Amino acid sequence: MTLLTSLRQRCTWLQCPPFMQRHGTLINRILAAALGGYLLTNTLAVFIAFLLPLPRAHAVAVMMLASFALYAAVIIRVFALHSLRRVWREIGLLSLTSVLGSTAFHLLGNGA
Amino acid sequence: MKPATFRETMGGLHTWTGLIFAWLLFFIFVTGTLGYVDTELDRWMQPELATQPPISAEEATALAQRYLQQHHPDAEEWFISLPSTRNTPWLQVFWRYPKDRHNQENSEHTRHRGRVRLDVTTGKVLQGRDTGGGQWLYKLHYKLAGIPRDAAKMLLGLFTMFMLLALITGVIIHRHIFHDFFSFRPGKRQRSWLDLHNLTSVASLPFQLMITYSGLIFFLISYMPFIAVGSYGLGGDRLQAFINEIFPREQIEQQHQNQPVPDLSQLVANAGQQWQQPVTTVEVHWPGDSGSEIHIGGYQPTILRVGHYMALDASGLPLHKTLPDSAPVIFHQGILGLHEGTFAGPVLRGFYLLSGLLGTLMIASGLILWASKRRARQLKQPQPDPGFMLVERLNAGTLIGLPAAIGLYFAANRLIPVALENRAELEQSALFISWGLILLYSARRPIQCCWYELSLLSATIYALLPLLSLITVEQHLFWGLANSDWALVGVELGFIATTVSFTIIARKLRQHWPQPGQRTPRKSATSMEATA
Amino acid sequence: MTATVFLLSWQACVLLCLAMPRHCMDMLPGRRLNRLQQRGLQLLAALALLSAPVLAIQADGPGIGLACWLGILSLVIMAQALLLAWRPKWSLWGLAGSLPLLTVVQF
Repeated sequence: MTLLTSLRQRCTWLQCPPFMQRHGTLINRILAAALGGYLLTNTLAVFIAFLLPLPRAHAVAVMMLASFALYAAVIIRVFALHSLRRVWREIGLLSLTSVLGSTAFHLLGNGA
Repeated sequence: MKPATFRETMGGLHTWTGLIFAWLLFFIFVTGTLGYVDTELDRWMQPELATQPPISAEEATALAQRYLQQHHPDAEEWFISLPSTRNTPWLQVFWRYPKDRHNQENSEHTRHRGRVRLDVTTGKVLQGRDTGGGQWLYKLHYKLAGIPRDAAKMLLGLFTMFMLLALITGVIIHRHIFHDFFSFRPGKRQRSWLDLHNLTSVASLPFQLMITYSGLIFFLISYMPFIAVGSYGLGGDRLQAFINEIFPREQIEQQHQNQPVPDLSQLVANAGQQWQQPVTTVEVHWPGDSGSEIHIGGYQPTILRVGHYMALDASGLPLHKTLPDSAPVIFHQGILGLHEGTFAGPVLRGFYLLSGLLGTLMIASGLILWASKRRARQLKQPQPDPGFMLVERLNAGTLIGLPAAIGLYFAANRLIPVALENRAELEQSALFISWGLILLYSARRPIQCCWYELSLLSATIYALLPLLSLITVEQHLFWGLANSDWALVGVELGFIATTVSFTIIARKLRQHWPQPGQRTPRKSATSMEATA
Repeated sequence: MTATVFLLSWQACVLLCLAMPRHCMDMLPGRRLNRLQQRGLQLLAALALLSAPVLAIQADGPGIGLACWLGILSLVIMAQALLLAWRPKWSLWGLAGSLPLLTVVQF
C-alpha cells in the first residue's frame, strides 16, 4: 500500500477534483457492483457449470438462467459490506479462484 | 456518523434503483400490459375488416395453400398461421425467399419476405386501414422507440436489472410484511401512498418477480454470453455450437428436384385427429422441392411456448423429429411462456391485465411517494432542488401524460383519413408528439394545476374515443354488441372504464389541491399548507 | 374451478384478517379474540389457502393452475385490503354468505 500512497503523492496532477472527493466512494462502489459484480457473476457461473453433474451444454444453460439471480445477490453483497477494500478483495479472490478452477477443469477435461 | 445498517443501505439502494429509470419502467409496464390485449386493440384499430366466420383448419389450410401456390410457388419457406385461438383470429400467410434470389418477373416480390391476411370466405387478401395497431404499441415494450434494436436490447437489460434489484431490496426493507399485508389507510397522504405502494407490490409479488426475471431471460445470450464463452471458448461459431447443443436444429437442404407440395389440408386433418387439439401452424420449407419438410404445430393447454409438433417429409410421410425437451429448455420455454401469457384464456388474461395494472400502480405510487415525502421540506426552501423539480414534472407528465398520449394514438386512428399514405406513421407520431407536448406543459404549469388538468385531459380523450367510433366508423360499441364482436366491445368498454378512472382521479385531486377559481375549497386551513 | 378457488382464497384472507388484532377490531368492533381463537382461525385459513392451489392444479395442470391461483390471490388481497379500509363489515358478511356458496359452486 505504501508504494501506491507514494505514487499518489508524487502525481499531484492526479489529485481528485472536488467532485471525486465527494462522490469517489460512491462511484467506486457502483463500479464494484456493476463491473466487478458482472465479472464475478460470469467467472463464478462458469466455475459452477463445471462443478454441476450435468452434460456441458445443460450445465452452462442452467448457470446462464441462474446468472441474473447471482448478479443481484453479488450487487446486494457489494452494497451491504461496509469496507470497499473488503469488497474488491472478495471480488478479486472469488473471481481468481473461479478462473483457476475453471482452467483446471478445462485442462483436465481436454487431457482426459 | 455511525455506519449505515443493512436495512438502511438496502433502503437507499431501493430508492435509487427504483427511481432512476422509474418513468421508463412505467412506459415498459404500460405498453406491456396493453400487449396482453394486443389482438383486441388490433381489431379495434382496423374495424372495417370483416369478422371472419368460423372455419375448419382443413379449409383454411386449403385456402392458404392455394394462395401461396399461386403467388409464391418458389419461395424458400411458407408459414401458415391458422385462425384457431384468440391470439390468431385471422388466417395469415408468411413467405420468405432466399436473400440472394427474388422473383424478378412479378414486381410483387421485390421484398424477400412478406405477409398477408386472407379472408376465409373468399380466399383473397384482407386489407384494413394502414395502422401499427395494438402490435406496434406492444412492440414499443421491447424495442423502445427510435433507437437501433441492439441498443434497445441492452438498455432494456439495464432497466430490467434495476427493476429486479428494486424488487429484491423492496422485499428486504419491508418491515412487518405479514403484519401489514392487508393494511391500507386512505386519506393520510404520505402514509396512504406508502400503503398503496406496499399493497400493490406484495399482492402481485410473484407476478412481478416472474415478469422481471423472465424479461431478462428473453435476451439471455446477449446479456451473459461470457458464461458460454467460458466453457466453449471465444468466437461466434463456438457460441453457435453451444446454442446448437441446447436447441438442436438440422439445416434443411434444398435438393433441386421438383416434387409437388402434397395436399396440406389432409395432413392438417390427420394431425388434428391425432392430437384432438386445434392445429395452429403449418410450416413448409422449400415447397415444391424433394428435400422439402413440413412442420405442423398444434395447441396444447400448457404455459410452454410450444405445443404439439409433427414433422413430415416432401411426400407427407412422417419424419421422426421431436422438439428439444431437456430440462433447461423446458424451463426456458415455460418462463418465457409465462411472461408472454399467450396461453391464457379469458379469465387468466384478465388476471394478467390486473397484475400488469398492479405493477404500473406500484411504480406510480413509488414515484408519488418519493415526491410527497420531500415536498414539504423542498417547498420551504427558497429554490427547490432541481432533482426534486425534475421528478415532480416528470411524474405528472408521464404518469398521467403517457396514458393520455396513448389515448391520442387511438383517437388518431379514428381521425386520420383511411386512404391517406403513411397514416400508420402519422398515428405513431401522434403518440410521441402529444407526449412531448404534455411533458412541456407539465414543465411550465404549477404542479397542482398540472395534475388536475392532465387528468381531465385524459378523461376527456378516453371519453371521446367511443364517440369518435360512433361518428367515423360503422363498427362502434352498439354494432359490436349487436354482432357479438366481443373484442371490439371489450376495447370500447375499456376506454369507458379508463374515462371513469381518470374522472375519479381528477375529483380526488380537486379535493386535496383546490384549483384556482374553485368556489369553495373543502378544508381551508390544511389545504393552504398543501398548496404552498 | 375458478370460482371455487376464488371463494376459498378469499375466505382464507378474511379469516387471516380476523386473526390479526388490528383488522379484527375493524370488522368486529369491541370483540377481542384470545390466542386460541386466533390460532384456530389461522389454521382454518391455512387449510383454505392450501386447498385452493391444489384444486386449481388438479383442474388445469401445474403451470396454468398455479398461474390462475396466484392471479386470483392478488385480486383477493387487493379486494380485501380495500374492503377493510372502507367497508370492513362487508368482508364479514361476504365470508358468511360465501360459505354455503362453496357447496353449490361447480365451475
